[in-house]
Amino acid sequence: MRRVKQTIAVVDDEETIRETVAFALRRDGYDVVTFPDGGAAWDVVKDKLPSLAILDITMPRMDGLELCRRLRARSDTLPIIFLTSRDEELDRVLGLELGADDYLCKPFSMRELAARVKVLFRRLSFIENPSAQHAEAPLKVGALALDLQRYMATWNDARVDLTVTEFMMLHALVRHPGHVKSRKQLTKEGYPNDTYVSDRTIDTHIKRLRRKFEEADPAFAAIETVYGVGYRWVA
Amino acid sequence: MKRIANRIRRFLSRISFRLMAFNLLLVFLPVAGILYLGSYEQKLLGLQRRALQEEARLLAAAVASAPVPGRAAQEILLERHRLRGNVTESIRLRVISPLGHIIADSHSLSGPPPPQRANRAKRNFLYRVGAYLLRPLHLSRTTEYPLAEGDYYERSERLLGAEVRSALQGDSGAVERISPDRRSVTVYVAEPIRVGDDVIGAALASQSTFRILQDLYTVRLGILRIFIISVIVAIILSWLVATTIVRPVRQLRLEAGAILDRRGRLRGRFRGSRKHDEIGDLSRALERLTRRLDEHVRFIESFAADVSHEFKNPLASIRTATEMLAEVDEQEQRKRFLRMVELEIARMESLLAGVREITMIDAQLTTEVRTRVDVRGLLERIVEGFRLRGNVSIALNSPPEACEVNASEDRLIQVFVNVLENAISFSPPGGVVTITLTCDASMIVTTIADQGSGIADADLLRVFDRFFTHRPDATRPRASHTGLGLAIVKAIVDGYGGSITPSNNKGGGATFEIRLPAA
Repeated sequence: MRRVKQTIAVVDDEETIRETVAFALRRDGYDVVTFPDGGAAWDVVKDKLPSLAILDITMPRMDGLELCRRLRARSDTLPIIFLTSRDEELDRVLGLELGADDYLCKPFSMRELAARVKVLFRRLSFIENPSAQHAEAPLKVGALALDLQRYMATWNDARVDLTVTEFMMLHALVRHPGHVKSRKQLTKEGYPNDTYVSDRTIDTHIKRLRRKFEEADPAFAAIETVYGVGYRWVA
Repeated sequence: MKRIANRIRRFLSRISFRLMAFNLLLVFLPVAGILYLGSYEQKLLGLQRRALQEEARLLAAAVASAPVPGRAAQEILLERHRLRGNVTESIRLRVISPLGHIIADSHSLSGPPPPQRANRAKRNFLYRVGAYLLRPLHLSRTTEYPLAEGDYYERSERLLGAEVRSALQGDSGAVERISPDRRSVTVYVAEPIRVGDDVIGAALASQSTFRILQDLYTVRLGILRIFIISVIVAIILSWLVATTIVRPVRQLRLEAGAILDRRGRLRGRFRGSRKHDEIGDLSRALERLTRRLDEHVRFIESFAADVSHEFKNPLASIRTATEMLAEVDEQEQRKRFLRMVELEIARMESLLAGVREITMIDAQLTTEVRTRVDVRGLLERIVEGFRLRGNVSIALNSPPEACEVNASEDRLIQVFVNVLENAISFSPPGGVVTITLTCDASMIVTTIADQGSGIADADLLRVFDRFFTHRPDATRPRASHTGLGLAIVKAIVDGYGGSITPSNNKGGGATFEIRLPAA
């Protein structure tokens, strides 16, 4: 299918994670380069950008945040996935608006990571090749349209940039408008492969979702908080 | 009902109430004095009666021994009057015939006594209030006075009162009569005048208690004044004490109540008073206590977060490795992933041991048995053990004499071995780690210097943070570095009242200086 092998940069100071992630992705047919810290990675990737980057946050010399900033400065479309090991860390990183395409909490499932990588490449191919036809009609609820194949959302025909996790949570809410989804259900939808995240993390994702839609439409109020239960989509 | 009783009990057990009660009790002592004066008054009356009796007997004896009783009586009275001088002024002596007529009267010699001035003390408003309040205590006594009309014999031709009649019959008699205006008591004492077996008349001595009582009333009034002033002072003192003791205590109680929220969690802390008294001390002690507790809670929370963070990395490795194990058939690869899992499990075990160690150190340092440990000998043994390892050499410079500290030997070994291992792990192959021991009377200083890459300035303060690891050449597996070694060292050295400071050498490499107080 792929004509040119896609290169994935894996940057983590944990040798075991580096090795297993690289092994799994190579099995899926990608080229993988690994680096033990941000500095070592930057020395190499600044000359030749990879097709996708998987970054740990806490690393010696140069942390993942700085590396992400530098990569973003070089490319707007390069998909970046963050690996975090603390809820507070995730909150902090989400607040920084680094423009990463997804976040996974350690200990993550390799299957989940592989699925996200696949989704991000699919999305990328659509952005680079917008003439490609929709194989399937998008899911439309009011002003919202969700393209389930490319994991892309539009509001009044304007594109809203969502991370894969945000997209999956939004999809879960929109599938049954008016029905309340508990935080536990949203966790399951956002992280289908059993990754443990706290309720607070879900709240942070929802907060970000709302903000992104409000940027597109200041009157956006379709995601409703049901106190003590969860969230629901009101059409 | 029960609630009211509880309320009363609570009110009675309040410190301010008890202080007031004690102060007032103290004030009631003068009242006891007043009561004592009551019995003193009784005693004075008895004394007076006896004095009058004596006077009457002397008069009777003098009259009886005179040849002509009638005429002589007046002369005798005159003589006695001269003899006794002013004292007799208030004592009225009369000689009475068997029929009750006055034969002689000392008043006719000196004239009547000055009219009784109104007893000012007794008319005083305060006195009347006090007398009214204390009346129940005096009741039994006032009834002792027979109520007879004042200067009993003033207008009578014949003096035939009870005491005179009993004297004329041969017995001595005494009567106390209250004056018509009820201001004073007059004591009458009559003695028979005997010639042989016949009673030829009676000698009557009488005296008003006016003066004595007046003095007594004045004293009583004084005591009453003192009492009232004392009550006022006691109330003011109690109030002052309450404001300086009870109010700050109540303030502390309110703060204590505010600190814990409904679920019993620490919310705030004591503000700490600026007062210099014991309550100020208490409030400052409580302030320190809550601050310490708060720090501890924070420490535990951040420690738990750090620990869970540290465990997530090996867990993530194990998870991904086991997922791969399930999907890979190749024996070589399977072995590789299994090896990874084993390594990560070993790392979690050493992490657990380190966490356990670091949480126990504080408790263990306070209970462990400390002996005098010679650091020089200890270092020599440790260095000997390290000589066989690796390709880094260790140089030990120590003074000729022993350097002793009060410590547990195992703990000291832990300190030196951890720092030494750290130095060796950063040393280049063929490098030298130099240990220098110096000691004086108060401090034992050990420096451990390596020739490695040194510590970045930004990290100098962080090397003792738990889980801090910074290994630029990550060639060794992470399993051997939990990031707790130096944190444990610092906890031990601090526990012994010493210090440990890292610095960079001018020629490259890092030096750790460990200072311990000498035994």
